[in-house]
Amino acid sequence: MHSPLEQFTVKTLIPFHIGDVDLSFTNSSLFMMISALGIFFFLGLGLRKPSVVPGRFQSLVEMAYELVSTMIQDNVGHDGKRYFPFIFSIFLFVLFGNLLGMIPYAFTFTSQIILTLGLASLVFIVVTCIGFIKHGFKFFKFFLPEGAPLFMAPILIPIEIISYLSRPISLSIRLFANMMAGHTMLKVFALFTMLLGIYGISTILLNTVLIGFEVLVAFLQAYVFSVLSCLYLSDAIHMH
Amino acid sequence: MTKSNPLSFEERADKVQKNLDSNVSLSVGPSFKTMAYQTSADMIASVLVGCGLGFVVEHFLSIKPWGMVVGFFLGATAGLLNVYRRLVKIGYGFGK
Repeated sequence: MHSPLEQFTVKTLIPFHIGDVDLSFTNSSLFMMISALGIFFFLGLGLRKPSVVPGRFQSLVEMAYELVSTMIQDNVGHDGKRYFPFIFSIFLFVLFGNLLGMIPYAFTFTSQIILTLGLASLVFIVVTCIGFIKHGFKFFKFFLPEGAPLFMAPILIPIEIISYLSRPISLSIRLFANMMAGHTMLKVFALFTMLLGIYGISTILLNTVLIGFEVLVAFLQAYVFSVLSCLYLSDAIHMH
Repeated sequence: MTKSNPLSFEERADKVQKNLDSNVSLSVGPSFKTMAYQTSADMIASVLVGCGLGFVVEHFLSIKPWGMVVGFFLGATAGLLNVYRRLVKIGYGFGK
């Protein structure tokens, strides 16, 4: 009997080493490439013959664009428009990763904490750099809340620094935990179906509902990841 | 004959404004359940970062185990602060 966690195993497809560094092409890399190609074709084919009255495919692309555009406008404001490509790429990459994982036998790369932590660290580093470029050394004011008495600074500054550093960790844990928990749950219920024989029909029904719920979670987590990236961006730009 | 409304115009306007305010504040997160997930992830992450920083500090300054003890409490405080800020953002802050 397979373990419910076996689906998360990273398997090497094409071994490739440089010195001691393992740069092998794995199933995770393969699905990341499929996701990137998927985004490329989704946007490319959707906007191949753009018309004023959009067709089904074009309106799907426009909906994704509108969603991220409104999200940036609401959370960051007008200054955030120039970071649209960054947020849009992250949103589509996470969304395609989550949705690809819903296809049977596919590998969910967003359930690997190394990938979510990598993405969250990218957001964190970019946002911190933007903060320093916009405000220079005044950005350090961020770590001492306005109006706080100076003698509290030795306690408040470490707390604020920890709170700031915890952002990429919480961003990555959220996505990874949601995807991993959801997929493990689906596998566990599928296992019950096999074990229960004729009564397994009840768990099939339950799994059908859960798959629908997982698709919702896939969308929601991609949305939450980009909304929080927007909020961090807004903090760095507006300093509050 | 027009039916008179028991509520004055101001009262009705207030009611609409309150509804609008509550809708705007709720739109920060998709639902309370998602918000609960986010809040718990925030708290866990802060404690992890606090303990991690404490571990690094105690390792380099050779003050075992005080780095992690202080780091844990600072991390937990930062986690609570994050939760409080989230609550303030959606209008549930203390004194609001």
